[in-house]
Amino acid sequence: MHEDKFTDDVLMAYADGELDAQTRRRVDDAIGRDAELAQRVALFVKTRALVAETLGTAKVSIPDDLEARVRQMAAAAEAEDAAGADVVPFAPRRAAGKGHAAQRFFLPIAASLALVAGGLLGYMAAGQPERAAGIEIAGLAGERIVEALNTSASGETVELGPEASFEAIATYRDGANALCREFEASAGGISHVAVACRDDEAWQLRFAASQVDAEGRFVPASSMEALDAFLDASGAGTPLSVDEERKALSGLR
Amino acid sequence: MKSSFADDVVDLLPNLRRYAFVLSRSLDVADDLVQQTCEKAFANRGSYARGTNLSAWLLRIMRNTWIDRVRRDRTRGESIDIADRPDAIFTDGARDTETHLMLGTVAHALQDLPEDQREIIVMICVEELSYKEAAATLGIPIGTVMSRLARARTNLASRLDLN
Repeated sequence: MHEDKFTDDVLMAYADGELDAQTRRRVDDAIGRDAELAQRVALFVKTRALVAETLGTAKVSIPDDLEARVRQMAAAAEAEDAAGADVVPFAPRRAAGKGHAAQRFFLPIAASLALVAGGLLGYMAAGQPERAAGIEIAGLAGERIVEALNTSASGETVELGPEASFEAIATYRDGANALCREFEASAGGISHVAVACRDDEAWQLRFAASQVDAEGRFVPASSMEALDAFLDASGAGTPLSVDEERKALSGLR
Repeated sequence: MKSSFADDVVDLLPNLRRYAFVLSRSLDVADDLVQQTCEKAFANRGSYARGTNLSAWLLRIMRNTWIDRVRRDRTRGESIDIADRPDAIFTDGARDTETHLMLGTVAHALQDLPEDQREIIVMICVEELSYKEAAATLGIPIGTVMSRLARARTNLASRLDLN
């Protein structure tokens, strides 16, 4: 019978159950006749078992604050998914991590830049049915939004009135160490994502985007670069943990 | 609709932390990596295809994050080679037992391997990715996965005197 020569790669694939049926049978035959070959296979079986046992059965602990942060992200994601079908797939390149600043984080909803900063919150507070475009109110005028920014935990949804709601997505500090909150607000069926930061004892709107364009059409995910640029430019840090956020917010009152 | 994606990610946190530690050999860096990976995972959850291997998808994100970090740290001229004790990530509460000694020996030998060998051995032998999944995660041909993995295991075997 023809004597096969098997490389380490093939013997390892045999040990890992990765060979096709035909090659597997050939290795079966060969190791039945060749003790050295059988030992080589055993080496691959043993290394796998050892590594699996060493790393696999040991209980890896997760620090409480790390788990809290991830659960916070999970809660925000679930709340967002529950809020509607507005979640759109981001381009995979956003996951590639190319050229991103060290402390960046991603806004969790897709949005298109459509609002002049300053307009959204006045619009929200007034509860006007018109689209946000054209509203001219600077700063954060809406008391209920301010209250929600001051008090609600990220992941929590606050009803602001009929068809109007607020949800804090994350809290972080920007490059100037100002406390910032990224939040989602919707009114009259239009959803917005915005960032407000504390400045001189008051919240200032720094960024706002809606998911509709000037003609009222739904525009998914077309302005992530703008949001990225904003976060990069402002030196956005990673989101605070549940505890850090609670502490930071309690300091506001 | 309640998404189980979040629960699944939380369930995989120990796997993520383990892989992050194998990559970085530092607990602090590992925890940063886990957090950054989760941030990206939740932000990009729309691009995860349900029914595919979530673990492989997350490991790929983590690996890209790690490569990006290494590149930046090098640019800044900072050293990232702060190795914690290889078994620092495990809490087995039985420091004097034979099990712990064995665990420590294998963990040390593993952490001495070059990074590309460490990561592939963990991907296949611990995270149980198939060769094909590992090839896709690492962006290399299956043949390279096999030769690298075989080299990693023969290296490990000689460090542990298994030959």
